[in-house]
Amino acid sequence: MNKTDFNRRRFLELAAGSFLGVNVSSDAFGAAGDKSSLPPRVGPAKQLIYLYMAGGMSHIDTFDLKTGHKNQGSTRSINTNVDGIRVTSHLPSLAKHADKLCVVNSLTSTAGDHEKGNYFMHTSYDQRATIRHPGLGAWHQKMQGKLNPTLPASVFVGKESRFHGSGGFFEPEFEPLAINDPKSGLKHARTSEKKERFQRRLDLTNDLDAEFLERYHSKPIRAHGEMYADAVRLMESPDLEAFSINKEDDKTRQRYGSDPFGEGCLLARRLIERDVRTVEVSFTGWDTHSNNFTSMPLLCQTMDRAVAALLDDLKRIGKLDDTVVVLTTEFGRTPIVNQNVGRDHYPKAFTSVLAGGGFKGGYVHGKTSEGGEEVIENPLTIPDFNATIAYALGIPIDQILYSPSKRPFTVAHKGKPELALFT
Amino acid sequence: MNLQTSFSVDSSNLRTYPVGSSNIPCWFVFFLGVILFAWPAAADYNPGPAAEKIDQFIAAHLTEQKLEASPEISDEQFLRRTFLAIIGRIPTIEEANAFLESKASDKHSALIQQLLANDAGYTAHHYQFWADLLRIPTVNHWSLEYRLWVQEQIAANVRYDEFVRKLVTGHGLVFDNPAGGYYIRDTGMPLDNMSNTVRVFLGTRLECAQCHDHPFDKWTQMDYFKMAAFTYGFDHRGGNRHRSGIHNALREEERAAYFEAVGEAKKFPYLKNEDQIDKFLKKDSSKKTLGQQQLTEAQFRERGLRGIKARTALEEHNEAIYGSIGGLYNSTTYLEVRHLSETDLHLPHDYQYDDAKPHDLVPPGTMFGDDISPQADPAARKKAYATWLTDSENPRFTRVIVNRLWKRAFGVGIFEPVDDLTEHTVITQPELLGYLENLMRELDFDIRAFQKVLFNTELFRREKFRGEHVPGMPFRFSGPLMERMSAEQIWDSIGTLVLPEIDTHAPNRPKLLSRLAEKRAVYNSLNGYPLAEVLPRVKAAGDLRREFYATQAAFSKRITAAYDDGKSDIAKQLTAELKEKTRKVDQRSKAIVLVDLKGGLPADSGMMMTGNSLASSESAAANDIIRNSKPRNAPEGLDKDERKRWDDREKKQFQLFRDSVKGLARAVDLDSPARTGHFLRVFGQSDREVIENAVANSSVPQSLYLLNGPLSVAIHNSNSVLGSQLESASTTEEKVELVYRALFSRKPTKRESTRILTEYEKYGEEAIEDLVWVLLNSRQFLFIQ
Repeated sequence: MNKTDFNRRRFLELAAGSFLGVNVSSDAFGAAGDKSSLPPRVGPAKQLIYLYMAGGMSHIDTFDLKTGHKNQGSTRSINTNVDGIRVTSHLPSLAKHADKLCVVNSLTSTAGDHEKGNYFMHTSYDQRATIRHPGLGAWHQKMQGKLNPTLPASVFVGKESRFHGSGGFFEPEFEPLAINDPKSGLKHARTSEKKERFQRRLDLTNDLDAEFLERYHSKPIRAHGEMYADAVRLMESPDLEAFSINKEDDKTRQRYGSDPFGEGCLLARRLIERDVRTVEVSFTGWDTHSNNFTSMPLLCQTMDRAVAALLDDLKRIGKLDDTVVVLTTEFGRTPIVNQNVGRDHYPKAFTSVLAGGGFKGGYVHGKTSEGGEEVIENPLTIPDFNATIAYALGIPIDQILYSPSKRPFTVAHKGKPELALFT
Repeated sequence: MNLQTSFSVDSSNLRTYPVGSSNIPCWFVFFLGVILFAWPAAADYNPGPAAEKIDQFIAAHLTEQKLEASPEISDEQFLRRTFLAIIGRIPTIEEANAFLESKASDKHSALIQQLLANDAGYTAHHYQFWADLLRIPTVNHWSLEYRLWVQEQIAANVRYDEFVRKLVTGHGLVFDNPAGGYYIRDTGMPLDNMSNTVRVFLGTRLECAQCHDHPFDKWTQMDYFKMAAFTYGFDHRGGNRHRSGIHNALREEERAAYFEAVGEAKKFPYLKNEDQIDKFLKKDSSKKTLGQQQLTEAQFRERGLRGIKARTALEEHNEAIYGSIGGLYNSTTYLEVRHLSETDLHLPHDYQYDDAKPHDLVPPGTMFGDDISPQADPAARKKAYATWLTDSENPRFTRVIVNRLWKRAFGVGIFEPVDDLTEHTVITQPELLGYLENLMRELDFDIRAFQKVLFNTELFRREKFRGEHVPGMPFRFSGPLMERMSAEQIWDSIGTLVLPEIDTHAPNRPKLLSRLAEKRAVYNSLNGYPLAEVLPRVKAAGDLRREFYATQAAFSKRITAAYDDGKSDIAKQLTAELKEKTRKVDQRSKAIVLVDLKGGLPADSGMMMTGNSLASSESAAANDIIRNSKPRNAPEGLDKDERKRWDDREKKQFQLFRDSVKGLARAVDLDSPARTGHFLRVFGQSDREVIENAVANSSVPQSLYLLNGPLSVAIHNSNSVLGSQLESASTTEEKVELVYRALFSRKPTKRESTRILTEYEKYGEEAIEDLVWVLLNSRQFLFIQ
């Protein structure tokens, strides 16, 4: 009975149905913003894969190595296929993909707890108790619509009960479809009944509802029928297979790994192949307050295998240039090792990686001090980082959309894209 | 709309509402009694005259608009609508029969009364309303006491103004006063907390004015900050008094070690390191100190170094203790709301208006109505502010709650949006609204009595509005607005079809109560004993950790070596071993320090009533069904293959039933927000992040859930409530009728039953399964007529 801003939103909600409904034009709140000072990118990327290392991925133990410095601990570095770029020895496959990677070693922020850091990274806004800001996937859908009308525009793969790359204050159809377990894919998408019986049931439902429909046919009731029609269409659509990673051969599945993140990346690839706009895959476990050096190898290897396989496949199917791949996290970890042989939260300087979608490969942006404590070259704030991703996707950075409470918001708050990252 | 510029606060009217442990020494024990706690206040209140008056207003309005009232609904529709509106679920067949078969002329009114007096059902439903408004998540440990307390307030029908006062004066330890959760919810966001207070209780949006004067309303940034100043100086993170005590004690020991090593010199400076010795000696004043102490530079340096060495040694020794503190205390953060006198509110650095300068101190002040005389004491200030907020003459306070309850009963508010009152708000029926506000005041803010009036109106018994209601256009109330059930209503209704006595089936409650007890025991172990007792235990935990360092280092070496040798499997195995060992050390540390926990359970379980008092309020019938459920035997006369097919299907369906009932209880007993992909989330349950975040729109995942999910199987399974009734039905007609009565609370029409009987002739028992599936997937199930 309680609906968020029901009155204000309802018209759009009903017009648009849910994720398979009609696309809503970009200025749904009737508010065109100022003209962007920076025109949107020509020939932008079309899709986004957002890989989120939840918990805070150590920069100094992954892509921003400090070999020889006491802060490095036992992490060792290896060469990559690009001169001058070195990564941890636990990223051997990505080392062979360094020519595709745009490593940003100069992210800097002040949000040092998980919730706030995660929220900030996903939305470019501080977490507030009065509003929920949409994530990049929702903005992407809002501004660019769907590529495949049968499938949802954005999908979140992960176990979190609350995730911050959400639909925010946008209408319900901008909420990403959440998949908990990539192995089981889209829940309840198949009937266990014979086709004939399933159809019989559908016919009977419509027949028995006929009298009710004669009396009541307001929009919410019609929308209900439309969603059923869409659901049945999806069940019968070949696109449904996009959700089934078990269609992949064993060799492919091994390449990605049989862990939830690897399977999530494989699912992401299948969804991107079928023209889903945005897929986020979340990978928890990076909060290495204790036993950092013994936890990192497994975390890194899991990530290494999956991301390398993903880049390989995107390249192979010809999607890499049109797909932005983001590997990010809420913050880095303290360069100084703590009492529990761990590293604590460290937003002051940390690393994320971009690939595909027009970004330079084999490129390292920004630099931290000798011990990895602070950014000494080309600092990039989180809103800047997100503006850069949005720019890559052709989302107008300065376009203002209004929340139902009539507050103005942009895709990356006050962030400015870093053009040096593009080819 | 004209906002009254002042409203009087009669000081003789000020009620006192003591906060703190003396007031509710053991509130949660009281809570357990709640199920049995009858709703006494307005039970004999006759809602007739007020309901009639409301209908007169509506009738006059309809006449004026040249509109006709919708026809009266059937008893069956009234029954289902009323159950859903008051206790949030559809009636069982027995409950339906009791009403439908009654010949009493006042049976409608009696049903409303009976449902309002169903404390468990009413609370289960009404709690969702408040959890959504107050954004109460269950995943966080701080909300444990708070949400049970909110449930208790609802169950006890605490008058609305008092409930709100308790919330906004929430103070102290959550164990003593769980209402503190109201502030803890917005820890670190005191300004947002104020915006939310004003939005929820005064229906006014101030959040724009946080950064600048409100662009569409009259509120200034100064108004906002003055309001925020009432509650700004509160900290919500405290509660562990010994945490800093332990730190200080260790630092003090380190200091003492330094001075002991330095020797007797009394005025020897406390120096951090060798650099500081150099610096000290370079200062001219050092000559004097050295002279006083009769020390040469070399002697001074030597003593200083001795002190530094001794302290550093102890610091290193203590590292393990510092390392233990976090793990011990982290599960009990956010326990207390307390005043912090030093955090006065100042204007932001970019304040741009003429009435003050950036960084100016902001004195508290009300946004409208009478101002509150300045109170130096923050507790008094907060109380005075709460009194202002909840004063029955506060023009927005009463208006907002009556409109919210009106919307809850009839689908649309008298003004919309319900929480954005501005100068431009159009109120099409101001007399009606005024009458409702007066009624609320007359009823002393008795929420249930007020709803009793609304449900007793003719309006509530009218057919739903058939047309299209365009948001932003006035709604005329020829009948209530058609709505889909909320996620919780659907879930709870399905529960009603599967398990008996669903309102009191609370399988997760014992776990909840033991979490509550555990938290309290942890808290008490850490803070409830003198520091002199706690400190040695924390030190002992530190000793354990220190001993573990060597193991940890050895493991790290082996793991790194294994990775270097390319032996990932061995490395992983060692990593898992190390993880397990780390876990054990933590466990042993906790056993040493958390003395009120024995074997992970609260030692003093006597006070925690997880046993007997609970059993009395829990449904045994539901548990019996779950425990005794079993698959059916195949009917006689099947050949071998048929029999196998039958058994396989039965087994599969039984498994679906078992899986479904495992997690089945009223939504109030489950985590909220539920995990992503849970039925409740798919159907639009609020994520409890922002106010009223639940949605009732249709979506494809919802359709898929009902089309292919396990619920229709669980409903017709022979072990379920409906399934067992179907089992004992003798004729097909009877079965068809049972399914209709259970899902729609009515008999099938002639056309409907003929249609299904035709199906039955063709497909036999399959047709009954189909019927359950069909009705569950029909619009008539989800939309409340």
